Amino acid sequence: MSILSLFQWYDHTGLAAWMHKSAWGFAVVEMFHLVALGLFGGAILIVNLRLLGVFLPDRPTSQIARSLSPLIFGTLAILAVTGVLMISEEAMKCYHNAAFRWKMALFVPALLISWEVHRRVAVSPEPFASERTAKFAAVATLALWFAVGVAGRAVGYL
Amino acid sequence: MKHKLGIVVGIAIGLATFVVPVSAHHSFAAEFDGSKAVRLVGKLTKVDWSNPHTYFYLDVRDDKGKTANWACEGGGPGALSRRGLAKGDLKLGDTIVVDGYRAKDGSNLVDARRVTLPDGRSIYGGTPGDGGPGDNGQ
Amino acid sequence: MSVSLFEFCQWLNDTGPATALRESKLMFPIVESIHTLAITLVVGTVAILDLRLLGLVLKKVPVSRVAAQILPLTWKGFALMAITGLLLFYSEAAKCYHNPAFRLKLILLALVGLNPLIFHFTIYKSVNQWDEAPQTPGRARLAATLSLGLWSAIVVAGRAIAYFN
Repeated sequence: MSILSLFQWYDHTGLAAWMHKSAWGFAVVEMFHLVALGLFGGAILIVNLRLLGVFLPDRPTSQIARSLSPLIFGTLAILAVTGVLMISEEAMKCYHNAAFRWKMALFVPALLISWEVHRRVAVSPEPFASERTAKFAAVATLALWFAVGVAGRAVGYL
Repeated sequence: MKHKLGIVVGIAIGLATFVVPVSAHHSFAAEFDGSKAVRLVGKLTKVDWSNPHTYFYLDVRDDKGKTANWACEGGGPGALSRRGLAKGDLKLGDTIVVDGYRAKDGSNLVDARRVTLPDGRSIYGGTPGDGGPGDNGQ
Repeated sequence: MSVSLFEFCQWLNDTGPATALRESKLMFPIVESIHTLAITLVVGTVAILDLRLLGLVLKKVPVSRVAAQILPLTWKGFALMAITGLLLFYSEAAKCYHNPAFRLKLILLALVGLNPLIFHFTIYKSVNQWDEAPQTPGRARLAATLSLGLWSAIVVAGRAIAYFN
């Protein structure tokens, strides 16, 4: 099944039909997406600022990361579910939209690097080979998620 | 403890979000119906060339001879200019053709997808391939 | 000569810079995108403090320490939000005047500012007594819950502005 046929299938589901008809469905889902985005972004920012040595530098990174991980995973789940729901309202537009494609492309490395950082930080007190590597990872993570956010906003503007 | 927080925040968000559709009059319910494509032909009476959406207004004569004013919602100035439509291309009094989706609340409002100017030039406001009225798919 | 608030908004709306921003191809999308993404800097950071007050995150760190580390970030984010927000208002002042979602957002912003002020001058004054307590005082938890609820509602109201234009 190609990606195109996946989107075409999705465009014809009962869910999509409901979203097309509903006057408020998309708006409500999007609002949850926005609030979750704010919370997710804040949590990711804090963890990576700790990695950069800027936030609570005297506390172990693992303590901060572990403390915030339920929030990070919870809001990420909400973002994923609400995102998939929003696509159903305009599946073919999303498929063809350059910003949406960028967002999907950037989301994968963003998620992977966040996962890898989280995995290392939770497991070991010296998660990175050097301080420079840690800072590079933090900057890369923040830059990727920021780019995901920009691409997401751009979907509506293109 | 966690439940209490969840309930309160949920209520706060819930109340805020449901105030919107309940109290919104025209604008909110005027999301567009993908199954109601329409073609309007009319004289431009007003152009609102602004972000986040442009609006242009047409006096459209129906087959009974009655004239009604219709609002057409387009993309922002950036999106339109990237598709080849500039502010000056829409001149008051011009007769233009608009293919679009009707508003869900049935009002005289369309989500303008394809605009055809008097000189024959035609601009597609959607994303090519999205299947909207006037989509050539290229 | 007295000028009504609406006339003032209309006047702002019609100025050259406001019109240029409103009709711009790129500037408005950029300003609006910064405003939207800055939600993470304001709501996202203050939520961490609120969650600490609720005993849900960073429990091993004293409340006052979390506040001292978080709030500078929140204020910087708020400055960005305020500047972009004012620009957005300026560019469509006439529409904003009539917009019920915009008016609600302003009321909510006033409340979300009042909440920490009251908190700071009342229960927070005794923070040394409960800085590392297993549970923070009820009034602190109330302020945190209100903060979370109000900020969420502000985000929703802000998004709803477009639906009432």
